[in-house]
Amino acid sequence: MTIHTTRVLPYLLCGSLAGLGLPAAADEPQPSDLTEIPFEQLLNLEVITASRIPQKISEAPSAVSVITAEDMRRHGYRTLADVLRSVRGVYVTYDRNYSYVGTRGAGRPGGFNTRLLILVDGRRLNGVVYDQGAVGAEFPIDIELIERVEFVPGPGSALYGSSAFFGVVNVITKNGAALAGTELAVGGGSEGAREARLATGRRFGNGVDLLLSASWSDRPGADLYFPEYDSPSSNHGIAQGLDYDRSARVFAKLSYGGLGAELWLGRRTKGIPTASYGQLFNDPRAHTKDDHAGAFLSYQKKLTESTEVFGSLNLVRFRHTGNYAYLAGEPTLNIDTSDSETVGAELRVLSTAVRGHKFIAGAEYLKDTQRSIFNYDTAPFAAYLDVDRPRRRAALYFQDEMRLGERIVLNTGVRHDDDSENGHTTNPRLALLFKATPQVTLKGVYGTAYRSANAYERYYATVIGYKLNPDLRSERIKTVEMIAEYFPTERFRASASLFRYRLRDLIALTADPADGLLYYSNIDAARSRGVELETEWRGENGSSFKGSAAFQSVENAATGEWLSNSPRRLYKLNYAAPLLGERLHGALEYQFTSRRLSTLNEKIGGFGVLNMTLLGHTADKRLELALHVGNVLDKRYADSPSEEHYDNSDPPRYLRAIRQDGRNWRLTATFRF
Amino acid sequence: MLALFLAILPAPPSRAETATEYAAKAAFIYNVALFSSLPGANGTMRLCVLGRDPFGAALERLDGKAVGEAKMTVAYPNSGREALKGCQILFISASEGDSVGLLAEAARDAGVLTISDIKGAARRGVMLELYVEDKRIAFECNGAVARAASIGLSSKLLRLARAVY
Repeated sequence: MTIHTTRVLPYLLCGSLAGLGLPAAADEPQPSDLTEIPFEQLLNLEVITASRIPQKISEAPSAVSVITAEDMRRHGYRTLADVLRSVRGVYVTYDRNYSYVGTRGAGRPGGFNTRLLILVDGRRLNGVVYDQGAVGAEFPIDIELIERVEFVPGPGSALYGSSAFFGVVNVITKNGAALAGTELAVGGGSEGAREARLATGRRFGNGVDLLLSASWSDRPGADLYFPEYDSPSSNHGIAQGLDYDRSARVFAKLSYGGLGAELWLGRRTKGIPTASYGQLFNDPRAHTKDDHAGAFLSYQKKLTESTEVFGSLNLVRFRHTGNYAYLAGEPTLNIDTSDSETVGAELRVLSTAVRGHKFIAGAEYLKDTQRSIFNYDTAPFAAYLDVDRPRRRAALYFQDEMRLGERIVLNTGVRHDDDSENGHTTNPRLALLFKATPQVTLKGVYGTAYRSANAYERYYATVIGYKLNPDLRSERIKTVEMIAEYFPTERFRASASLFRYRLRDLIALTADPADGLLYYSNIDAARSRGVELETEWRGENGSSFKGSAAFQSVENAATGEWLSNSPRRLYKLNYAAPLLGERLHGALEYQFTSRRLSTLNEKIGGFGVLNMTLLGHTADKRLELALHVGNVLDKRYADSPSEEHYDNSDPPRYLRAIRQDGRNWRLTATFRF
Repeated sequence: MLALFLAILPAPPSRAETATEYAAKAAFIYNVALFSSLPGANGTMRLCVLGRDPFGAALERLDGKAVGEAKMTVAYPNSGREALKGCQILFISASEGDSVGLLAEAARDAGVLTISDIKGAARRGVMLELYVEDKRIAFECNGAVARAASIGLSSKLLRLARAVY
């Protein structure tokens, strides 16, 4: 695609900014007094439904953030990481291989999101070898297929078990009726990025609803400069053509009455430009590959007017392959693979049969039939690690929402998990909700959560310098949160939340002074406290505004030290408005992250990033154009690296910061027919 | 590319007969008041909105308006109990979705006409459930509950309902 952004951008920018500043033209018709027209005619009148602040459908008694398909389209989000970046109190660190989500000030770089549970239509996506939660390009479902994302901060183990430690991200996919036709999208962007997507969906007259989609994306990426690696022997610090990011996805969803079936596949290949884990810098062979596959079958039935039952059979497969180049001038590659397969069954009953109560009871059984790690060298072949540790997990949970009078709701939940590897654990949650007035709600929430040690932490001991720790226990968290919400109309909402987290038995890599070997151990404890404020407003003309601020402090419970990669302030602003009637929309987004401490104990500067999206469609809505400009002001900023970001030099050179993208753009054309 | 965006700029919006959803719903409630016989309405007919107010200014038009012999007033009670004491018509907002069943039951016993646009409200005991279908206001009627509350809904109203049970 040959588009000269430098020439066009200023016009578009000026146009959109001017438009955003103007009070948007009120298209709202003001007919004469509607009470004067005959009743029959009133029922024939075409009505315009104004957008409202979306309500959570999650059962969690928490301060849930909801991001709808419309929000995602308006702001040009491409990945789940983009969606989460817009959420109050959330920050995402990108090391140019994977994205790591931080919440409430806790987000260790390189953490692989093991403390955040990602659900796709209610089913666990987190892996069973690394426990990783996919949020970047490796997330296997296209953003355009997502109906809404609900982010539930706080411990969710009382409902979901392991990994629902800092929060739960529930991705709810669209059905065919939401598409009602066929979409073909093609796009291009900075550094030669290209993408294509074809999706079709509809609800047939007989009640069958079908959605099919396939997509492909190739972002070659720019050459990246790393000053830490700047030496003649390592290409003067330039990683050439190693920031590529390719992905392909397939999705199918079928429903008929209470029956549902869903299938998805996703593959993502990413070059590694950072020489992470002590690799040779600028070696074109270094890359990772992630393959996700999932298949669900479910049945939902209303037994009575007040009782509903849901059953589901799930199959999830995941394969990770890391191709690491450690040796210069030799064909040897180190391959690190993990394979997993989980089959699961779930049964859940929801009932309001007892007056003043809403019960949810459920049982879950998961069998990890494969859970293997294989690490070896090619040419010459040498195996360092080959383990497969299948396991079984079973859980029972119960939640009751009890009305104590008209203004008080007591929400209690408890879940018992039994794991063939980690033993059993019980996690409660207690929430008291008080409706002070119809507009003001106060909530107090107490909860605990855990994350069981994953296969990587338990079994990853290659010959070089690692050993195993058979005594590894689960990590635990206890939290208290107070929430106040002012919600006077369907178009305005403001909330404040005060939280205090206590974390213990955090798993971290430690060196044994006796033999100098590294092993995983439950050594860390931390405490976190903070405040989050948010306000949201939707205008009658289709405009929307959301602003949030988070102030938080996380410290090591033993030493009082400030934890690495933990910004103390996060500010976000999102604004979207129709620019010229209904057919052209503009959106601006500003995100500020304050400075953080890197794992090298150095300060990494705070930054503010501005993103902009223009969205326009033809009168018949058959063609839609979307122009997204990320980092409009071309702000230079960096994310925090982790302990793994060093090359194979002697002594190793550690990265001090990982620079993020400057101004970048993307243009997408979507045809609907 | 600018040309592309300009090419898809809007034509002036066509002025069809349209109204905002809640202006239409407010007018609907007024019509319901006209076509129903409500116990306890002497001189004033009080319409109460319980929960988060979705109408905004749309209800102002109804405040003080004549309904046959009576005059309509609009109130925003703080609790269900308060609403059931002084109101003849109770609109239950979407924010009260969790307690709509209990409210409907209490309103039936108190002889208050209930209206809501919560999905499934009529099945949960609300007398009139409003919804938008094909961009038009439509409604279902739970006649059994209305009868139990000794509220007379006119045949005209019942005829226009999408479903009566």
